[in-house]
This record gives sequence, C-alpha cells and structure tokens, in this order.
Amino acid sequence: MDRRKFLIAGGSAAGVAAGAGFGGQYLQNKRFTVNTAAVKIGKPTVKAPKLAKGTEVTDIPGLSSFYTPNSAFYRVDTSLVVPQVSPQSWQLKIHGMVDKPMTITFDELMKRPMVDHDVTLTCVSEQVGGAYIGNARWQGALLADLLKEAGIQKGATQIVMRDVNGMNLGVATDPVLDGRTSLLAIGMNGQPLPQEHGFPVRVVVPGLYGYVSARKWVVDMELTTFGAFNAYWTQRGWSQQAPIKTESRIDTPKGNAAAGKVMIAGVAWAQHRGVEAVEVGIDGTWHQAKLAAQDTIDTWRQWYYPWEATAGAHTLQVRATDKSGHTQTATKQRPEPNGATGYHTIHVTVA
Amino acid sequence: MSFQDPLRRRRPPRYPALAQYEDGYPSYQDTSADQSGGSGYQGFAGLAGAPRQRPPWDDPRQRSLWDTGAQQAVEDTGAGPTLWDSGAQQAVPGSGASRSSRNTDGQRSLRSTGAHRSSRNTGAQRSLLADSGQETTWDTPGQTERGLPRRTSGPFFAAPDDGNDDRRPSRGLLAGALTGFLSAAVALGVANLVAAFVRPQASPIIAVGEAFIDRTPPALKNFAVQKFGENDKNMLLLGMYVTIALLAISIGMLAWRRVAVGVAGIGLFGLFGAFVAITRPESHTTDVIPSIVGGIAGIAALLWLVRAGTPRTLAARARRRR
Repeated sequence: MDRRKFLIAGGSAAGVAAGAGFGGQYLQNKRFTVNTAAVKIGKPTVKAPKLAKGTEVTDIPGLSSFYTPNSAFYRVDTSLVVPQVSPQSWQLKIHGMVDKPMTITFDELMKRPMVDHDVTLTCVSEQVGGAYIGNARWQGALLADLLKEAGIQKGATQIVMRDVNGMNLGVATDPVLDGRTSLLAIGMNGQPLPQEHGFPVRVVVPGLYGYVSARKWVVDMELTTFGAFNAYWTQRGWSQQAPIKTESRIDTPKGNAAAGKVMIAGVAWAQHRGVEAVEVGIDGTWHQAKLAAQDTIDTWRQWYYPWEATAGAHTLQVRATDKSGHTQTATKQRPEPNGATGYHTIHVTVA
Repeated sequence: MSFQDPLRRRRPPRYPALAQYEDGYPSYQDTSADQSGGSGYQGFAGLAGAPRQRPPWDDPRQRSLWDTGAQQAVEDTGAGPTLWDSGAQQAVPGSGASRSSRNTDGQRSLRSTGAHRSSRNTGAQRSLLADSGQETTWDTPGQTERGLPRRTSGPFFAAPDDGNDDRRPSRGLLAGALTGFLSAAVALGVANLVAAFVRPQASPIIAVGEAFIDRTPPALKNFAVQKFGENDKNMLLLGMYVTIALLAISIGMLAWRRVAVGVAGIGLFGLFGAFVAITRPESHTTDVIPSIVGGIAGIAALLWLVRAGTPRTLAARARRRR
C-alpha cells in the first residue's frame, strides 16, 4: 500500500536526518573542541597591584560585580560557530609595513614577560544603559613590545588584525603604541581564555571599543594605512577611531521600590581616562554619588547614592565626569557610528 | 493517522455534465445553461458566453482521426487499465482505455470519443472508482451525469504528474510538502555529519549564516543586536531554518508534480551551499564537500520519497518504459 510505504520512507528519512544532524554535531564537538584547561597560564611576570580597599563594592544587591565572571561576560562577534584553535597550531604572523616580518608560536608567546592588567571592555553596540560591557583581569604579553620588535615603519597608521576565519578588525596604530597596556592576552580572570572569548590568544586594548581592537582568535596582524585597507566594520559605516565614550549606568533600583532608604547604584566608565565623579539626578536635582576606589584608569568604577525615597513616581538619571574634566553629554545618540550617548534614565515607582 | 488533502473535497467538479450528443455520442454541456436543447456543444461550465470551438475529440468530423489516435495510443502503451487503482480496473474490465489514456504521457487522445466508445462497447456501466464511492455511469444514452470519474488511489496521494494534464488539482500537496521538508532535513543533516570530518565552518548552514552576517545591512544588524541581544545568532539560525523549510516545502510540492523540479531545487541548494562555503575568507577547497554530499543525499531522499509515495502501478509503468 502506497501510504504505508510513504510513511515508512518518510520516517526513515526523518531518522536519517536527525541521526546525521545530531551525530554530526556530536562529532564536530568531539573532534574540534579544544581543551582550554590544557593550557597553564602560569604566574604573570608583572603582577597587578593588589586592589585598594573599597575598589570592589559587594554589599549592594543588584549592583554589577567589579569583576565580571567569565561565564557572564558579554559576547559579540560574527562567528556562528566558535572557532576552535589549538595552542599547538596557533601562530601569529606580523607583516605588512614592518622591517622584520615575524611569526610567533604559542610557546614563544608564553615565554615573553606576562602582564596582569584590569581592563573593562565595551561593545560599541552598547545602548545607553545596556549590558555589553564587562570588566576582567587579563593576563598576556605586551602587544606594543612585540610590534616594536617587528619594526613598524613610518606611515603605518592601521593594524589590521585577522582571526582564524579571516574576519578582520582595523585599529589605529597610535593608541596601541602610546604606552597603554595593550595585551596579547592568554588569560582572563585567572583562567585560560574561554573559547568564546578568543582562546588561545586575543587582543585587549584599553580605552577602545571592541569593534576595532578586541580581536579574538587573532592569528594575523598586518601593518598598513587606513587608505589602503577598509576594515570590516568601517566598511559598514562605523568610525575608524573608536575611543570609548564616558558613560554611566544605573543598575539598581529597577521599577519599584519601597519608601525609605533606597540605594541607587551602578557603574560608570571612561576607559583610559578614568572616572572622576558621578552624579545622580533625582527628579531633576543632581546629587554627588559615592565612588568605589579607582583600580586602573582602564576599568569602570562602581558608584552608589543612598536615597530617602518618598512615595510616588520618580525619575532617576546618572551622569559621569572623567578625569579629563569632560562630563558625559545629555545628547542622545544611537550606537552607530561611534558609540551611544545620553543619560541613562529610569522611572521608579516608590510605594 | 489520517491524512486528508483539504483541497480535494472542497473542489467542485471540474467537468460539465455529460449529455448525449445527437449522433449518439456523449458531449459536454454547460449545466448552467438552458438544457432544453440537450444537444450540441455549448461550452465548458462557467465559461459560457465566449464562442468556443468544438474540441476536436468532440467533433464528429474529426472523430475518425481521434479515434485512430486513441486506439493507437491504447495499443502502444499496452498499459491498459492497470495504471491507477486496481479496484477500478476490476470494476470495468474492458474500459481501461478511457482511464489509462488520460494518464499517459503524450497521448493526445485523452478525451477521445473512441476511448469512451471502447468502454461503452463493453457494456460496462459500473463505477470506475471503487474507492471514491462515486457511481459514475456516464455512458448510458439519455442519461446526464455530473463529472468524469476521478482517478486517484486515495485522498492522500496523487501520482507525480505527467505534466500535461491541466485538470490535475492540488492533490498530494501534503505528501509533497513532507517530501520537500524531509529531503532538505536529510541534506542538512548529512552535510552536518560530513562537516564533522572537514571542519564545522564547512557546514552549509554555518557557511551561509556567516556569509549572511557579513552581508547584513547595519540597520538590520543593529535591530537584531538590540532586539535579541546575545541571542541574535540563535535567532539568525532559527530564521534560516524556517526559510529553508518553507523553500523546501515549496520544492517538494513542485516535485510531486514534476520530480525534475525537486531534483533541481535540492541540487541548487547544495551547489549554493558549496559556493558560499568556498567563497568564505580562509576557506579550504574541501569546504565544498559537506554541501555536495548533503545535496546528493537530499536528492536521493527526494527520489526515494516520491517513489515510495507513487502508486505501485505507476511505478510499474515507469519500469516498463525503461
């Protein structure tokens, strides 16, 4: 009977499809997943100074922790499957406008002096009040030293950094070399880099949005000019220069609160300039918030303000001022082309 | 489990009533028109108004010509009455020509009066479709019956079409949809399995997805990032699977009418995947393998499903033809 035959054939086809599909996924994971735990990141040669007292505020519920756990760290990239790169096969090629093109292996990289540094990374897609920001302790080799060994030629304005899939980011040479702690990072919060965050080696440049600098799974660096090469995101309308803008966010309260003492708290960031002050706006009146101690100028700072809340609807705002004296602008701008601006504003009903 | 093609039952009969033609042969008559004349061709139902030429198979002047064709065709195929359902075949032992000729490729004698006569000549006035429960005694002089006999082996299936029968309604749509869907699933599943031996990025869904990401307009990308956050990749995959499923279902429905369309459709899918995989940055030549093998597997599944869903007697005809 034809219907029976068809149903048998259909069921078999479904079985083949599911078996091959899921079996293939299992095999892909088994064959290609790299064991990050096999890498021992060791102790850094240059340890970051111990955190000053009061750098980490931990006793306010709802406030972001100073260090973002690796598992909770935001991930924004264009890879549908996480690239799997084994440390044994990893190589970084530095070429283009350099005197001595060079290739460095993972073992050679590990032998270089290792630096510990706290950096808050931010995605340019971060909306005002968004969540594409995270702070971590990164361990790695100084990128500037390596590039100087290769001998950067005059006129090389852009470093095009490619990952194992050929996806490229283009970063201006100047900020990378201006003395900030730009790293070829191998460790994140004391662990080897997770696969989603660029295992085995990624680039961390303090103060620049990720779309120009945060090259995960990096295997290739080409020194060139902005005129000679239009990088992936600049082709798509994003700016060539991408310093992170001074911004701030209210983490708590959210929505409703009980009358009485309410802690307004959040984070503020102005990477590589440092946060100087944070003000909280309550129904249009600005108050100085208390700031956690500064770690490095490359990290965010937690802040809080105890508020005697009265019943009713209230509007809360926040604005930060960086150490260069610049207060974040109230002008609202979308993330494109170089980062959103505006005050994070929330509405709270106090009962 | 019961599959019912919803389109089948609702469809009104596509043929006008058969009336007795003045010279003793049946003819078509518009039932909506005045039937007092009761003779002569007055146009197909619903199309009254425009003057129409009498169809050649209904024209006494041309009948001899068409007769010959019909007889010829029936003799040529030798298929006889076994094409559709054996129930009907047994019901009308000698009238096979009237049905078989309509089913057979390239036989222009479909509505030949000769065919009609051949069945009348047997004296058979019985149901042509045992399973439809429709009594179709359409050949009795003086009697007017609605509709020619349907020919299907069930509500679910229709044969892959010969392509030149404009009367074929949308039977078999569900089976066609399932065929397309499952063929695409087999193609993607097998491609994913093969990708485990090449590299994950060679899987067509990944290659096409990443190519799509690269070509996403900034506005859409921002919308996705803001709307779905870090779920944007999962939403993209979901969207791709839904799109592929819809395309595959369409291909399957077409394949049910014309197998070649299905083969071409799935094949193009595979070639597209291979093309995208090999044009990705940092791709390897071997990246085409998952898409190609997946495409072949999908075509095989399609052919297999179409064949499994094809009434056996038609398959037998196909074998005879080879």
